Amino acid sequence: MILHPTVIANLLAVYVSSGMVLYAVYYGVQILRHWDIQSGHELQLVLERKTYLISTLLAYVFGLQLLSLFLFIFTADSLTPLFVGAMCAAGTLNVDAFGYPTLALKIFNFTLAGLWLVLNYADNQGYDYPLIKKKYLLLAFVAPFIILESILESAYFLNMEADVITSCCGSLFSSERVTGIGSEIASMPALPMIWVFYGVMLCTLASGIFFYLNNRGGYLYAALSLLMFIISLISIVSFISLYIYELPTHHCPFCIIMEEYHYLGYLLYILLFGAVVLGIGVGALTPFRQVESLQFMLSGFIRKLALTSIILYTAFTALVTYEIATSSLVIAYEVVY
Amino acid sequence: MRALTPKARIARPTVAKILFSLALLIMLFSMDMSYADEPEVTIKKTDRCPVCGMFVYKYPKWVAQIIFKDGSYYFYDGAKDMFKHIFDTMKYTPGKTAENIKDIYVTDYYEVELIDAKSAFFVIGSDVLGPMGHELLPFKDQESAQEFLEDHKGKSIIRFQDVTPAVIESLDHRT
Repeated sequence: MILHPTVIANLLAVYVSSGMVLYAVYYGVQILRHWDIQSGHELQLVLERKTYLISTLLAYVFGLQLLSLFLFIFTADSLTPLFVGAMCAAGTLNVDAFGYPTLALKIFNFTLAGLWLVLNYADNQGYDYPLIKKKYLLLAFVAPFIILESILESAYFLNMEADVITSCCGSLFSSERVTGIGSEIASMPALPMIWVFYGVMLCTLASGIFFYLNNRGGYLYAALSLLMFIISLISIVSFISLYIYELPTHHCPFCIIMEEYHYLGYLLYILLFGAVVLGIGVGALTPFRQVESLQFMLSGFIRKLALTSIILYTAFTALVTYEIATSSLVIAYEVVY
Repeated sequence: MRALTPKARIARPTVAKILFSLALLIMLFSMDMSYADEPEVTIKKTDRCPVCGMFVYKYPKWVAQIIFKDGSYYFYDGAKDMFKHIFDTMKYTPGKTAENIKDIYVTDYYEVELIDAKSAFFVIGSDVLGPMGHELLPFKDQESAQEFLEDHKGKSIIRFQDVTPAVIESLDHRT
């Protein structure tokens, strides 16, 4: 265990989230079982009051959840000088076995938390709690993952030993090592990956604009934006990083968040994560467009979500293109290391 | 008129205090300048190791340098990465070959000054770790290398021509 202010902040954040989510789930389950808007029973009145408290509380908790992903990456980056061999967050996450699983789970929970906030916002617009059961069903689904995250994250920080020689991102994300997912992505040929990135991005944006104009194809846009999110993450390791670092062998997705690269990584990741959460939100809300109390506002809200997601994806692509265009690195032929 | 409270009197800095802090500041700046005057390799904040991508200015004690015949030069955060570049020059810097290398420098671990790598004595297997883990520690003469080897549980002293890719590989895989 390393007592660093950022570590304490991280652990506090996950414990606060877990505690609040547990409290909310307790009432969430009661709502799922006993909610009946027609009834004037005492329990129903209590639940109706409680749901305001809980959804306000959860709005903050999940907001914290969104921030905590970036706090976690920031922490891993700022602990780097403490470990021999680490030069950025990649090395720090590799200090023990729990670093990368925690990060993966945090990304997953980030998406779910964002989705819950979208659902909650839509629910609050109707006068008769139209999505209340769906909202708490999603909460019951998310809760175990939030708890698991706090366990994994505690294990990660508690198992940190300062005398471990960790791997530098240069070797974790190198095309020579045949093992490990980082190396597998890094050794993918960069040129075809550029085509895939721009091709799928074009399709995603086109389907988004189609949805915005015609109000049809919401599911397609949600699916494409999820696909695009995964392709973008792979692209960052495969070729975007090369252009930012201007080094033909450096594939690290974490060095870009450092001060020396003007914290560019944070901007890229915020755009990307924002785009995917809103994109999936479009798909999640589409089936409820016929709900009576939401009829007038929901379509407009979904279109706004889609438009914001499109803008974020466009900004992401523009930023990537700018980096490639102004980079002094030229990937000239198929042999890319 | 409002009476001056004791608290307000304390908060007001005296002329002597201001002069004192100014003098301190000037002293600080002059100290900084005396450091800058020392002859040193000029490592820019943007210089990175071409092998691992680390910013070299963070590890001035470990700097190694290769100068090519065309005038281009590269810094490394340790002799190990420098050797990796020599063994696979085309990979890390496409278009350049090991034959075009003009000068190679490493930093003497005791003196912290750049020395010619070809005449250096490298200690391997010691308990001193560099930014990239186990390292080859360069010394300018046999005596200091021997002294370091005894003090830090080193395994052996090798010369530039003895360093092979296998030696580098074994450093990377030591636990």
